[in-house]
Amino acid sequence: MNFLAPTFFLAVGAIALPVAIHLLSKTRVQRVRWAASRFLAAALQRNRRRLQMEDLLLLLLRCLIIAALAFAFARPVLPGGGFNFSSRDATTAVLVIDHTASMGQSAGAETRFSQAKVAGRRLLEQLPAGSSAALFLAAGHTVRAVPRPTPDLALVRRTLEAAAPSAEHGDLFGGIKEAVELLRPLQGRRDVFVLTDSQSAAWSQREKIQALREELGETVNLHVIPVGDRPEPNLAIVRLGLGASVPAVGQPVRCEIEVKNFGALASENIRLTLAVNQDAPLDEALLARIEPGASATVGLFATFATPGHHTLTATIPADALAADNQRAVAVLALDQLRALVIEGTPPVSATERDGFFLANALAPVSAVETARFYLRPTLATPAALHAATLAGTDLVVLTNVPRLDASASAALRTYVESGGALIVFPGPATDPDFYNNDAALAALLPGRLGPLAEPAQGAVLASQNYTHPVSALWNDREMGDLGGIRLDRYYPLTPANSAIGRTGTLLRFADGAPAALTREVGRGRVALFATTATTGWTNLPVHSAFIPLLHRLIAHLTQQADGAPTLAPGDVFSRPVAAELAGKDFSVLRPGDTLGRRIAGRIEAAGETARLTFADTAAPGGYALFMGDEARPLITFAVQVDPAESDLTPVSPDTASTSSALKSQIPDLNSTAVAAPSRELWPWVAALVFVLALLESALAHRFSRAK
Amino acid sequence: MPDPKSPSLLDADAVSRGEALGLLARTVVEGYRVGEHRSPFKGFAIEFAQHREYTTGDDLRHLDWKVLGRTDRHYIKQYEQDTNFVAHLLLDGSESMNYGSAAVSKLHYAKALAACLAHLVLVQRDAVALNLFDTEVRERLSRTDNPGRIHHIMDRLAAFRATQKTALAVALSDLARQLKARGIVILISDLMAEDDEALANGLRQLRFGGSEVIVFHVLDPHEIDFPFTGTVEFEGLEGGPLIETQPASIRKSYLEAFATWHRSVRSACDRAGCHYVLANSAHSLAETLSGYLAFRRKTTAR
Repeated sequence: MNFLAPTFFLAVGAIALPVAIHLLSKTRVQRVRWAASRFLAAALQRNRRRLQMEDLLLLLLRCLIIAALAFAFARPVLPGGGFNFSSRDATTAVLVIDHTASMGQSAGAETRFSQAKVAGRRLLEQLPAGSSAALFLAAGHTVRAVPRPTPDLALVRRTLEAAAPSAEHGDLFGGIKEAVELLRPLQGRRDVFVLTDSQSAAWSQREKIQALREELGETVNLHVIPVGDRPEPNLAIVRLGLGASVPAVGQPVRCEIEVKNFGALASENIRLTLAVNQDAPLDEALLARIEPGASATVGLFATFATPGHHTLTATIPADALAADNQRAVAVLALDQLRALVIEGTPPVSATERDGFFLANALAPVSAVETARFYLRPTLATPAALHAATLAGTDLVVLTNVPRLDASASAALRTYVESGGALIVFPGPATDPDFYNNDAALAALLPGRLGPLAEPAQGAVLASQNYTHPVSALWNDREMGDLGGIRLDRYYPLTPANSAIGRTGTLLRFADGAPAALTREVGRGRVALFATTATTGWTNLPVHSAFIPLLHRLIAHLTQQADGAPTLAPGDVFSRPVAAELAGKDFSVLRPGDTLGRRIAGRIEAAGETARLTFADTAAPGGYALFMGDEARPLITFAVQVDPAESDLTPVSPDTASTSSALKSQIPDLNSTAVAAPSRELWPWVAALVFVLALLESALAHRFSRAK
Repeated sequence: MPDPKSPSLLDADAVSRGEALGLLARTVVEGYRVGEHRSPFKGFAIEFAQHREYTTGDDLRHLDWKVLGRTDRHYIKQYEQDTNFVAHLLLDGSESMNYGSAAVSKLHYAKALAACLAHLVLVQRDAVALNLFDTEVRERLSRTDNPGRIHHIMDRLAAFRATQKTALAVALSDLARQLKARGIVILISDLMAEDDEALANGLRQLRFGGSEVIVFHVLDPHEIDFPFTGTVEFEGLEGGPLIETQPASIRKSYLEAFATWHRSVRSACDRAGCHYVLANSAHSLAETLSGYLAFRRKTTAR
């Protein structure tokens, strides 16, 4: 039997309490000078033995209650079974502890990781004399906490005690393989003990593990020790995205948050909040019900008061797995987004020009409000396309531009690859051949322009079933119908080779052919439409969906332009910074830090530039890195738990998909090497205390009655 | 001068009720003065008792001439003679009498009872004698029929302090030896002697001498009901043991032992032909005294 809180055994000393109370009560004795002593003595003589027995019984009961309370608080754990080493030969063992995020699940008292530590400690105690052991923490990458087998098992035990749970995702195969490779060249008996919650994600490569086991034969024994019984119900935030909003100062940003129920029962009334920079929540929603296995997506709004780097954090109430109850994303809030609209042909009038609809759609506000609006469009000619102009531009829109000179297209390519956003609307003046054949443009555009198509009845866009994050909004009919957009003339688009950059179909014709494509190029993104941004060929510019479509597209294209990074737990954050920062200390505000920021490292010089490196990313959430005492962070980033870790379903030894060999390793097994999960005894002891207390009260009442 | 405490021994209510009821000798006593009590000596006073045949030497003044005239036979008239009685107050002054759960100890209650009885006896022109005893007779006041001596009696009662054990047998046999004539012996005691048989023997001895015996059994209400709670340390009077216990847990046994003893005391009194009066110190003296005297008046044949 083990104890999770053995310190509470000190409370056994409280047994002295009833004795002390008994002794103290002597001082409160009433004294009487009594005449009828003979009857008193006779009565006492007759009852002496009974009184002594009653006193002794009550004292014993009271002492037992206190001892049982101390026992319960010490949280005894009854092992279901011990390791039955077939011989007492010393062994060289490696303990591989599942270090994935799912080990953080708990039923309220202790996490699976804590249970694994208890089982590991018990295992170390049961190793035959003369054994040595190493300790690995296995997740996406393996931490060799005790890198080589050591006979100093106390060191292994201490290291095990000091191990902290992680939020990492990964498979146990890597850790098991490393343990096996460590033991393979050694002699004598060798054992690998894997302590795991049996979560299916951690055993995704079980066939490989089985193959490894078969390969090992008798050389290295592989034991799997499951901890915990059934998986706990779990709700998780599996996605937090900005949707299609431009994060700009004072501009409400719509964040799309997806909450998934991984439990077996429906969850109801889930409060979801959204906060900026660990401040008080700005917005919240109540999810009425999420069925088992289903998810719900909610849009919450946040507003940034200052430009620069921020973090957004969505939170749901605490449940079995704490790591996925929060999800953060890093955001760069712009002060104002500068758009350069390049018109291909000279304007005829104020309304008859290539950029008229675009300029009005980009800033759909009155002239007075234009200066404060987050988007500031500027109309220009292709001559403005040079590096100096593009350096101060966040978005470039080409509308009806016939062709570009070589320097302009090269500058445009550099601009996009370094993080700029580009939208291309062809028009009557456009030369498709040039767009298809110019090296710089061809490397940027997500598709090739075909010969001009002029269907008699026009071509309409598909109403629904869009998968692109920008256009997916219109899958909901309440948001409008893209099927009302008709194109009388257009250039059929052929998607470019996706190997160069990931492409997506923004808009689709009813027959499925693409009407607009997007593509990631370097750190920037490009969108290509099949038709014009004027009303000559299509009703798109005057359709109700045009303005939201354009703004969502801009948000999509500019969102990743700065590459606000999202890391997995344990990943190293590294990014080049200004050279003048080299040698300076930076501080960090980690998720949940209530004591403020603390010095986290020093920026290192890297040639002519400098590089900021930060490795302590174990905790999921938003991180803000600061220089000196500056109030605004130099940069923010987010660490997110892999949604796969939120699914706590264990690998089932009964399912056909599970390899037969793994069946013999995971739980139900007759294998003598597998220990059954330990059981906490405190509820039973607490019940015993309750019964004893009742018994004591009843007996005390009975004994105190006149006899 | 009387002791300032003396007046408190006389309960005004008890005395006034007692005076109204009087203390009539239940049995015939040998008085030395003519009083309200029947003498066993058939004399020649007021109340005719019987005739007997004349014998030589009889006073011819008592010859019943009417009978002689009618029957020609000589009969002497005999009369019952009322006489004074002597009340021997026998007061237990042992240490056990010091117990009292309230303001009044058993000893004080007994002293007051004795004072009231003495007063009653004296005002009806009878005589009273007082004996205070513990292991032996400590104080003795010879008999007196002078009502003015009541203050002296009360002084002696008030001055007495109980310090010794009880030896009831010694006191009763001592008194029995001293009694020259039959009278009323009034024993006022808690009767907590070590030997219950001594009480029975003593009572029998007194009754054998022809005296009427009244036993006032003085008890404290706590001795009767034993209502203690919590933890109590009982320090035994008269050298009893020191007992610490939780009285509630032994109350039933105590009451059983007490009741057994009480029954044996009553039984001893009944067997000896004595009046037994339970004097609960929680009750007023007047209630105790008038209750008994009323009972006595009702049951005494004149």
